[in-house]
Amino acid sequence: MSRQIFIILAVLMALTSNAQNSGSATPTRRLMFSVGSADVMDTYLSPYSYNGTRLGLSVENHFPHTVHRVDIHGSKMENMAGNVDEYDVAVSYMIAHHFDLFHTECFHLKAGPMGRLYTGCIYNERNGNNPAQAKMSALCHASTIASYNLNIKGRRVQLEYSLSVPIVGVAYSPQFGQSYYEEFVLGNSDHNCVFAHLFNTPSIRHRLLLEFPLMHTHAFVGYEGVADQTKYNKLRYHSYSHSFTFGFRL
Amino acid sequence: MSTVRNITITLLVCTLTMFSCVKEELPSADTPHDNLEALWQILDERYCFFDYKYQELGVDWDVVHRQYAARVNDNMTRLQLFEVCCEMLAELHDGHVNLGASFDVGRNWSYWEDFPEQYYDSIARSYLGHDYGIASGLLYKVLDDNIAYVRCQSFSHSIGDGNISSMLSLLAPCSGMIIDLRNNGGGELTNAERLASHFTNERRLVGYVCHKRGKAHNEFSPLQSVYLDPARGIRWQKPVVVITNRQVFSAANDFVKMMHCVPGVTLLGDQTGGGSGMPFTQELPCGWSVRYSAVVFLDRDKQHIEFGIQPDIYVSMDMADVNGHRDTLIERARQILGSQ
Repeated sequence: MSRQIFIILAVLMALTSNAQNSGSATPTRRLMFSVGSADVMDTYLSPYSYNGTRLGLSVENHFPHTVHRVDIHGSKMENMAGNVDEYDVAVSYMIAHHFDLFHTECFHLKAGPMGRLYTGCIYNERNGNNPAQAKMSALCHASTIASYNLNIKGRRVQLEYSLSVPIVGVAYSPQFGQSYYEEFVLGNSDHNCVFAHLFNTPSIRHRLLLEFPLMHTHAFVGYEGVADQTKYNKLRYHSYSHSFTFGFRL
Repeated sequence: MSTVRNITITLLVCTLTMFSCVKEELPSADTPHDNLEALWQILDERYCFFDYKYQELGVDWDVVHRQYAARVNDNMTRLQLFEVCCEMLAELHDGHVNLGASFDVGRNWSYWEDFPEQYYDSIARSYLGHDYGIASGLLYKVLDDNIAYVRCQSFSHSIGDGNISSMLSLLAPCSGMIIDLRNNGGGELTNAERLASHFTNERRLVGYVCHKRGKAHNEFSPLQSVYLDPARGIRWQKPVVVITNRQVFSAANDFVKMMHCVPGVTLLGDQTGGGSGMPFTQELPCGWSVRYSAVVFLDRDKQHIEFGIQPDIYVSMDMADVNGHRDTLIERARQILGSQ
């Protein structure tokens, strides 16, 4: 497993290095906010989904072929009976390198690998010895971005659609009935570093953005959909969200 | 670069075509039928003592399902459903198995309710008097015969190494110590370990632990050794008597398990109540919480302590002593320590 971790880290470092090389061009920096619905199920905590509101913040640096993105999100949810709350917070860093696939005057299609580091926690306010679930992963994604330029009344408007799916990586997960007491007090690990692949991590993240000039900058509005899913150590997890997203160029 | 591009496109297409949802697997409608089915299934997949309970009590969880599913219908009230669910859970005879609703907590406390308590609070408190010390929830006093009496009522509140060391320092001139654990229903396992660690000078094997790796009743991880390490602060070097009764449960039961491995410690009183499974919590569609034993703790001989630990010396409350406002168990402990 340590060999797999080394390979993943090497890939991420190579991508970062590539991004730094491409840094000669001035990046386009975006500050994005999102607000939407959250639907989270983690069978370590509960067999049922918790639903609520999700707020997100991200900072993105777009180079011609490379994208860096830091995401922070937080959700407050309740169970279907409405008598227990659950909280989900996470931070992630993504770096993607894209190659041109198709390029015309107004349409641009790019695709390439993306590395994503994710760490977060889901906390259930009622549970005793299984009150929270830690989330950590380092995954390689396949990602694509399509952009289409429009000219409306002499103003340049751009539609951008991006999509990514995880392919391979490593992730942390407790065993089906393992307690954190065993892991962190007694120091007993039990296959807690999981080899993640597209069959046990069938996830997708996509976003549709409309960029338009606003005063002295450019603004963005759009939709972001996230379906993170995992099946590790016989524990099942999903986090679905549909968010309205907006922001501007810094 | 075109190779990387082609691989990326192929992986994207493959992943999108194979995308499938990870959904809930248990019945999810808030009906009496689905609630009972969900309860039965949560236990079926996650409870850790089925094989042991079958061996000791003859509990067959499939038979239990047939028996109780027949008693559920969609015209039942919440209260009636709660009653049936609780009766079903009671079949497991496990104090860690509970059903929590806003109006009640379903439980089977027969592990102590069916036995004499061996404890009279007013009598036990008379040994402490009014001038006892308090160290992080531990009440202590030096008795007339120079025996230290420590009352440990719960492991729910944090007990710090500094508190224990300070208390032991003050009790150092005593010739022996009584730890009265009666009616201690447990709490944090780390508190129990911390207190026990002040009674050993070397690392000791005190038991084993394992957890479920899957839904089958016998799908467990390999046993992992559990050790008790000596505390860095002051450690007690003299004889100890631990007084127990049937209400010594869960983390307190684990404390007794650890102390039983330490030389110079005598267990006295009644058998402990047990509760050796670490409880996890899940829930039903109606919002009721379900608590169940999820992680198995065994003693150093790899034996279950789910139904309690036997004392080295069985002692019951003598009614003549009770009438004389004397605690038979404490008096016997003083006798043992005085003779050592």
